[in-house]
Amino acid sequence: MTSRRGFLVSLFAASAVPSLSWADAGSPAFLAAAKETDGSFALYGLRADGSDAFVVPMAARGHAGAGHPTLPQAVAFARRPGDFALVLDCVTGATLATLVPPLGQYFNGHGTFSSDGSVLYTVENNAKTSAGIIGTWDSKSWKRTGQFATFGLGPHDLLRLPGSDDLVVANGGLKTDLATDDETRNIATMQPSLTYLSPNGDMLDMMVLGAALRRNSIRHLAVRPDGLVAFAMQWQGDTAATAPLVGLHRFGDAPMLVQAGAEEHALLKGYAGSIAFNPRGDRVAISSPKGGRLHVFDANATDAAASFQAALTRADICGLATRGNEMIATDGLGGVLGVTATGLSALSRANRAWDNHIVALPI
Amino acid sequence: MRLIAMAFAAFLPCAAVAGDAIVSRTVDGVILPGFARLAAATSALDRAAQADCRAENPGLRAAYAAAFDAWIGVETYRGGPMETDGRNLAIVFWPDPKGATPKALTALVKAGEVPKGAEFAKVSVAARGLFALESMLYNPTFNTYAAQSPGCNLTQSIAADLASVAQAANSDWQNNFGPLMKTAGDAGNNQFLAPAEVVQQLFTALMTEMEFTADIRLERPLGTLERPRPQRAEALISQRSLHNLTQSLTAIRTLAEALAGGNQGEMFDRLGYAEKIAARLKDPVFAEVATTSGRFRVQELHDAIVAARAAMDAELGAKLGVKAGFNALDGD
Repeated sequence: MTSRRGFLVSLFAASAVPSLSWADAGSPAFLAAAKETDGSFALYGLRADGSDAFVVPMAARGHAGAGHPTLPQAVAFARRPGDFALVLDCVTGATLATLVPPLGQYFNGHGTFSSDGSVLYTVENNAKTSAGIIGTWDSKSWKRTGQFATFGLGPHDLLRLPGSDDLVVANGGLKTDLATDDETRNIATMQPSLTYLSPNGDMLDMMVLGAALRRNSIRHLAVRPDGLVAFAMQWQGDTAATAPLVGLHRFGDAPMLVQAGAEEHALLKGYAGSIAFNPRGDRVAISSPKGGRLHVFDANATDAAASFQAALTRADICGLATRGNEMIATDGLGGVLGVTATGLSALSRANRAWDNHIVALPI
Repeated sequence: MRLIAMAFAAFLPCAAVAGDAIVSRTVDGVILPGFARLAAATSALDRAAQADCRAENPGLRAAYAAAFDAWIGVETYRGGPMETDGRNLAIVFWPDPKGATPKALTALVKAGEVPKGAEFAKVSVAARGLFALESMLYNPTFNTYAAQSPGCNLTQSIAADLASVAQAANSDWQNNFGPLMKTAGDAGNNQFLAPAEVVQQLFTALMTEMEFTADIRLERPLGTLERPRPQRAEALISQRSLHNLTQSLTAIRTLAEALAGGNQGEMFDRLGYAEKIAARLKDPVFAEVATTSGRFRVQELHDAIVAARAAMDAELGAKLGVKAGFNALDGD
């Protein structure tokens, strides 16, 4: 039997040896937060085949995460408004650090590493004004090193552009009343945007949609190796929603918005939960747990009206990420599913509810 | 000993119910016969309309009433086959706050040439389904047409289209979706990975129906104390508002009993109370919401349905070990 002292020693040893890789963590390919049947929360590492690689308990509901580019370390973010993020050693399950946002700010559930892994970027809100902030952290000492503005309210997802350290942020545009978690206070004046920022916080480009789409909260992001950004939206207007929920944007260009035919589109109920490209980058998909379906689009279509490819149905489906040849999805019923252009195939099912996102690890 | 009992209790939510039995009781006993009835009733409606299209034809009106009743028996099963080709909207386009149905019908009658068969399925959904047909049969603006006129053709086209949509939905349920539900967890079944998932979906259907009946059927006409909105009652012109609500309560009871495997407990007591209040209401279209005492009676019915729903959610949810959708209800 391992003594407590022995365990601590080995734990220290594991976290102090940087040569350990993701393979030592059971080769997880994805991170996903979950709610267990007893009501507790956890973060799971999942292998490409949908099986569990590791599990780490969480004190509160998780949302998304970010994997270090080389070291088997992951950051698990608490759900918005989050007051902590855990830096985990995915080999031992040990918590290497607990990140706490500065007073008067909170985490929004997403974040990403710089290309060399030396800096972690976290998405935050000013608690009073909902002004968007990116926090920066040193990934060795896990000390806060600075912060800069996102140039919008209520930022949610954040990604790094491929082959660069520039960032793209989805400013949802919503102001949150912290006492009630009410996000509907400024719907009449909301202005979502997509902003491109340098690693120092300089604004490089900002994309906003026309006045008719001002109530379309830009919420989640996916990025293709050539820099094409796909964004998923959540409509804050009338429930009889006809507004598109997917956009494709390239730095400096005008966006292209795509959607299915009117009847099929209405089934999404104005809500897209996650977005991902397939590995070839010729398809992009969104999930709608409210509609129990994925919509798959041709990411290279030049004609927006012709881009819709398929609707794939599965109750409470939400998490979506790039995987192997196609994509992977998770749902609130505990299912992990492979996604192709034409169908879903079950990889695994467990007695737990997968939370909103599944995040592909950078390996 | 105590520890063992606690450990066992912790696993109860997963092991307490045999999902297979609930699924076959509900799918074979409620849903599949319900869709077969809808297909038969809309077929009979189509035949009645082709035989004598006039709005005053009592056979046509009776067939319309039967088709609407059959629809309410299955209206809550909106997923799967009902999502294909926009079937839900093709059968019921309501609420219609902008009055799209009368506008679309007027345009079709004016145009003179009413599309038939598959061509009619391409017209605006506002001109299709039970509520379009209600206007043709009961709205004085439309229901005075003669045989062989554009109005007559429109009534026939709507009836034929309804029958064809219901036929397709029924066949999908019987041959595809029903079997998928019953083989949940089998290899290759990617729609349902375990019987518990079907139970969850059926439980959600029950909650949705109760919510729809309280929030849409009653809250819309109730409006506010300062501004009651009796003109928003469902199927007002055919005087079916209260009748539809009663039919919905019956459908709720049928589904709840199939899921619960009985009719005992506070949840059924509360449902019984709602049924009793509904039976005491006399105004078929809830026009009484505009009076103080009438408003009180309708509000009492609303509150009874909300209370029955809360009891079902807690009691039946615990019994079945399910909760409404995690991501669907609480996205970010």
